[in-house]
Amino acid sequence: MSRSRVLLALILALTLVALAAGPVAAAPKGRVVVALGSDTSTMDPHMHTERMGIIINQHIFDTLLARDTRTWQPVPHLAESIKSVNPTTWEMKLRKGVKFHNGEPFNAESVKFSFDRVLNPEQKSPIRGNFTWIKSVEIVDEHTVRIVTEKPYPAIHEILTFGNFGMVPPKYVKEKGDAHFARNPVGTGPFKFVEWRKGERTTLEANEHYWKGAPAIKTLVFRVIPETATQIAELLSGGVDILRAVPPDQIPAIEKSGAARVTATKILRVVYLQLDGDGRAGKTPLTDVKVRRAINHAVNVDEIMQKVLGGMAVRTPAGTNPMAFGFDPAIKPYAYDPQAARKLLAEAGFPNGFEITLNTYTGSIVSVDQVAQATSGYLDKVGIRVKPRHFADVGQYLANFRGSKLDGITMASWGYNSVFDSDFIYYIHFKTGQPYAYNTAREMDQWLDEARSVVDPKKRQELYSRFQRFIVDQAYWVPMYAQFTIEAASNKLNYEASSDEIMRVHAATWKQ
Amino acid sequence: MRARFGRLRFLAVGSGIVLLAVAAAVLAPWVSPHDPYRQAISDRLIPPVWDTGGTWQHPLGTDPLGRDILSRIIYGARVSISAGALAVAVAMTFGVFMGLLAGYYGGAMDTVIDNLVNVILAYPFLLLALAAIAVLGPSFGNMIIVLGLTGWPIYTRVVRAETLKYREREFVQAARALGLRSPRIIRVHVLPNLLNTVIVMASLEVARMIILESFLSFLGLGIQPPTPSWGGMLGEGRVYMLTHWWLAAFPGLAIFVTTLGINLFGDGLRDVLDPYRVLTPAAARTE
Amino acid sequence: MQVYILRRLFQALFVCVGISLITFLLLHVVGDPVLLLLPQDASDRDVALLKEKLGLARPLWIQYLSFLKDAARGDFGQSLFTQESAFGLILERMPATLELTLAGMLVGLGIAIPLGVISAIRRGSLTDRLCTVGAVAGQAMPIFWLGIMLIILFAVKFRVLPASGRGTVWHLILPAITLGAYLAPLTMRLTRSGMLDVLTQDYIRTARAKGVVEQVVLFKHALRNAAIPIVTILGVQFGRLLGGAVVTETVFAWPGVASLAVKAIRTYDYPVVQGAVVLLALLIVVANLLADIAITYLDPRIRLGREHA
Repeated sequence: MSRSRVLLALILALTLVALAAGPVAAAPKGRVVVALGSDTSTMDPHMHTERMGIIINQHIFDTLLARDTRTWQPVPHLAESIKSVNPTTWEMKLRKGVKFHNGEPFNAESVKFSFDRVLNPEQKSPIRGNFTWIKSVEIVDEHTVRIVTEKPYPAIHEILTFGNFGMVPPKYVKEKGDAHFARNPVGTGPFKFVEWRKGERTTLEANEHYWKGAPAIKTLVFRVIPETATQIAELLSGGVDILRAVPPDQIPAIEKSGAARVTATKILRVVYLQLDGDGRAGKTPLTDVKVRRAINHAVNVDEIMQKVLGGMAVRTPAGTNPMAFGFDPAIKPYAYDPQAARKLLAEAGFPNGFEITLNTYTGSIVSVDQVAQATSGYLDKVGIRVKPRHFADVGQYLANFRGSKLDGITMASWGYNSVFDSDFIYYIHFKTGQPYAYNTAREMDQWLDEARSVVDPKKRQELYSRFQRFIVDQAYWVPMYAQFTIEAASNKLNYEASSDEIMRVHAATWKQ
Repeated sequence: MRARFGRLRFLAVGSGIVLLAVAAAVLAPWVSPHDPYRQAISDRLIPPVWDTGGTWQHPLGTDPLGRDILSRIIYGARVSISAGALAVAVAMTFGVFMGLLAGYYGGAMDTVIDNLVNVILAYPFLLLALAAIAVLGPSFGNMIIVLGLTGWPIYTRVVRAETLKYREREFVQAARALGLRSPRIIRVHVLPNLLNTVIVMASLEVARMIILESFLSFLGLGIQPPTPSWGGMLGEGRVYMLTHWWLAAFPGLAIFVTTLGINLFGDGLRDVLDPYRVLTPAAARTE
Repeated sequence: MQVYILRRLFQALFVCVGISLITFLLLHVVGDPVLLLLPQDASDRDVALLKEKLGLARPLWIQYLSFLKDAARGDFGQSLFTQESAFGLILERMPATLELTLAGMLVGLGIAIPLGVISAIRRGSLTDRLCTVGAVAGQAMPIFWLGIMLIILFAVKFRVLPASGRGTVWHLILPAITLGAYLAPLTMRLTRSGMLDVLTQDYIRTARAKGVVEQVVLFKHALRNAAIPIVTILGVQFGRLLGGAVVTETVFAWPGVASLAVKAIRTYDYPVVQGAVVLLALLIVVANLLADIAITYLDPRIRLGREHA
C-alpha cells in the first residue's frame, strides 16, 4: 500500500468520526455578496477552465474527492472511498442518499455519465486532457464504480479533486441539452442555482437538504465588478461582503475601516522570470549562462516581496513552491549583488549591457505592473535595458508562449493546475518538446521522466533535488516567489481564504 | 465691451497656463528634480511635503515604486502634450485635406467624402480606438495614429463648408479665370483664409486628445509604463484614491489645469481671430 | 420633406455598411483568432480545420459579404468563448446601456440647456462667466476620475448611495451624473451659442420693438429656433454618450453593451466585437435620423422643401 493511500484511509476514518459528531446546522439565513473581477463564460463545469467559473461551480456542484482545508490533501467527498483493485483498476464507493437539486438521485450512473461526458471527444471539453489516462469507467452496482486506466496512474486522487470535475445529472443534461445546462446548472452542491445575469451577477440559494448539512448563508450572490477601486468601495460601504485579489497596498485601508478584514494565505502559484536559454524565440544574450547568472544577481527579489507585496510572498529559490512535493529547502537563491552582475556581464562580453524584451501579462500575478517595473528598474541598474511587451489577455499571452514567440525575459506565473507536486511545474517547462519549455537539457529530461515513473517518494525527492540544483546552477529562470491569495471579508462573516484559490463561501458562517 | 474684456482675460490666463505646460515639457530635463524613471522601492508611497511623513526631497510625494511624482508630472507634460499635439496634427492635416477636396471639387468627390465623414462620426469612437489599439498593440505611435484617424472628420466638415463659401468668391473665380491650376488656387487663395478657423479648432482639440489619452490609459490601452503620461499616472493611481490620494490627484490636476488652459486659450483665440464665428453644431460632431 | 427623409435614410444605410466594413477589416486583417482558440498541443491540421469551420479560410471579400448577409438577419456568429449567439449576448445587455445613456442624457441636458439659455440671455454677466468657466472645467475632467470620486464620496463616506451595479433607481444616480457631466459642458456651450445666434436675429429685434413681453420673446420665438441646433446636437451627442458609457460602465460595474465590447476586444472575441460595434453604431445612426426628422418639424424651411445648406 502506497503512502498516499495510507494517508487517505486515515483521513477518511477521521472524517467519518468528525461527521458522526458533526454540529447540527441552523437554518440558512441572510445574504452574502462576493465580488469577482470578471464573469464566467458558462455554468457547465466541464466546459471551461476559468478560475471564476470554478469558484461558482464549486458552490453548485460536488467533486468526487475534495481537499482538506488544513492539509490540502484529497479527502472523500461524493466518493466515500477509493482503493486500488489492481495497478490499473480503482474501485470507488459512492455516498448514498445524495440527490441532485432537481430530485434526480446521485449514483454510479451519474459518475459514469460525468466521466464519459468529459472523455467524449465530440463534447470538446477543455478539461478532457486531464482525464485521458482513463480507459473506461464501469458501473459495478448502484453505488460502486470502477475506473480502469491505461497505465498505473498515481495522481488519481489529485485529479479527482479537480474543481472543474463536478458531478452532473445524466437525465437532466440529456433531456435539456448542453446549451440549456450551460445556463441552468443542476448539481448536488451546497447551493442551488437561481439566476445568472451575464456579466452582472449569479444568484444562488442554500440547498437545505445538502448531504453535509445546509450552509449558513441563505442567498449567495456573485457580482461582477471589473474595477478594483469600485470593489473596495463596495466592500467598505457594505455592498459587497467578500472580495478576492486585494492589492497589497490596500490592506491597511480595509483593516482600518472597521467594516471588513483581510484574509490571506499561501497559494501554489509561483512567479518567476523565464529566460529564453535555448534561444527558442530567437537568439539573445540569454543563451549565455553568465548572462543568466548576472540577471539572477541583479534582481532584488526580497525587496520586491517586502515592499511591493507587503511581505505577502514566500521565496522560491528554485522555482517550485515549498508547499509542493519535491521542494528542497537546502537550495539557496542567488544573492542580490549588482556588482557581481556587472562583472558577469562584462565577462560575457557585455560591459555596456544590452537591450532585451520583458514580456508581461495581465492576470494571476499580484501587482504585476509594479513587480514588472521594479524588475526593469533593477535590470536597468546593471545596464540591461528592458523593452516592455505587455499582453492584456491571458489567452493571447499563452498562445505566444506556446508559439515560441516569447523572446528574451518573460515574467511568468504557474499555478500547478492545483496539484501540490513539482512534476506539475517542472515537466511542462523543462522537458524537451513540451509547449512551455524554453530551457532544455538531456540530463533534465532523464530526471523528469524518472521522477514520473518511480513511486518511492524518497527517490523522487532525490531526483527533484538534483534537478533543482541543476536549474539554479544554469540560471534558467530567475525564480522569484510564491504568492498569497489576498482576500477580504466583511466583519459579519467567518470566512477564510483557501490555498487552492477556490473560494469556499459555502463554509462561511455568520458571526455570533 | 465688458464681455470682450473678460474674454481677453481668459485668453491671458489660458496662454499663461499653456506656456507653463509647454515650458515644463521642453525644459523637463533641467527643471525636474529627479530622473522620472529612477526607482527607489524603499522610498515608495511617500506623501507630499505638507502631509505627515512628507519630505522636500519629493515635494509631491512618490509612487508605489518610489519614483518622484513631481518629476514624472513634468516629464509627463512632454508625453501628454506631444501626444495630444501630434494626434491633432495628424487629424488636422488629413481632415483639412479631405475638406478642401470635398469643398473645392464638389460632386462625386464631395459625396464620397461626406459619407465617409458620416461613417466615422457614427462610429462609437472610443470602441473604434480600443479595437484598433488592441489589434495594433498599444504604443505611442499607434495611439497617435488611431486618435488622429478618428479625429479628422470635424475639420473636414468645417473646411468643406468654408471652402464652398470661398469657391464662389471673386478672388477665387478670378484666379480660375486666369488659368491657375486647382492645387495652386487652393494653396494660395483658399487655405490661408481657412487658417484661423482651423487653428482655433485644433487648439481646442489638443485638450480633448489629452483627455482621450487618459481614457485609453484607464482601459489599459494608452501609453504603456514606465513612460510617464498624465493619463497613465491617473489610471495607475485610481486604485489608491482611498489610501494614497496624491497618486491620482496630481496627474488629475495636471490634466485638468492644462486642458482648462488650452480651452480658455482656444476660446480666447477665437474671439481675437474669428470674432463672428460661433461654435456650430457641426463642430460638435466629435467622439 | 419625404425626399429629405428618404435621402437621410439612404445615407444612414450607407453609413451602416461603412461601419461594418471598417470593423470587419480591422478584426480580420490583423488578428488571428484561431491560434488563441485551440489547445496548446493543437496540430496544424487542427488549425486548418478550425479555420474551415469558422469560415476563415475563404477569401476576405467573400467572408465580408457573408458577414453582411448574416448581420442583416441579426446573426453575428457565436461568441468564441461562450458558444452563444453574439447577437443574443448583446441584446441581453442593450437595456442596461440604453437606460444608462438615456439617464445620462437627461441629467446632462437638464443641467446644460437651462444654463445655456440663461448664459445667453445674460450674456457677459457673472452667471454667464461662471457657467463658461464651469463648462470648460467640466470638459477638462476625465470622467473615470469623477466617477470614482463620486463613489468614494456618496457610497463610502456618506453611505447614501450604492457604489456600483444595476438594480434600483438609486443605483442609476451616480452613473447618470457621471455620464451627464461628460455630456453637459459641450451641450451647454452649444446651447448658449445657438441661443445667442437666434437672439441677434432680426425677427427677435422686431418682436422686441413691437413691445412683445420679453418672456414671450425668449420662450416662444427664441428658444423654439434655438431648439434646432440643440436637437441636432442631441442626435450627434448620442455617439459621444456611448463613448462615455464605455468608461462609466467599467467604473460602476454596469452590465451594458459597452463594457461587454471592451471585454470582447481584450479577448479577441471578434463576433461579439463586430456585433456590439455595429449595433451601437446603428443606435447612433437611428438617433441622428430621429433628430433629423424632429428638425424637419421644427424648421419650416425644411418642412417646405428647401434644405438648409
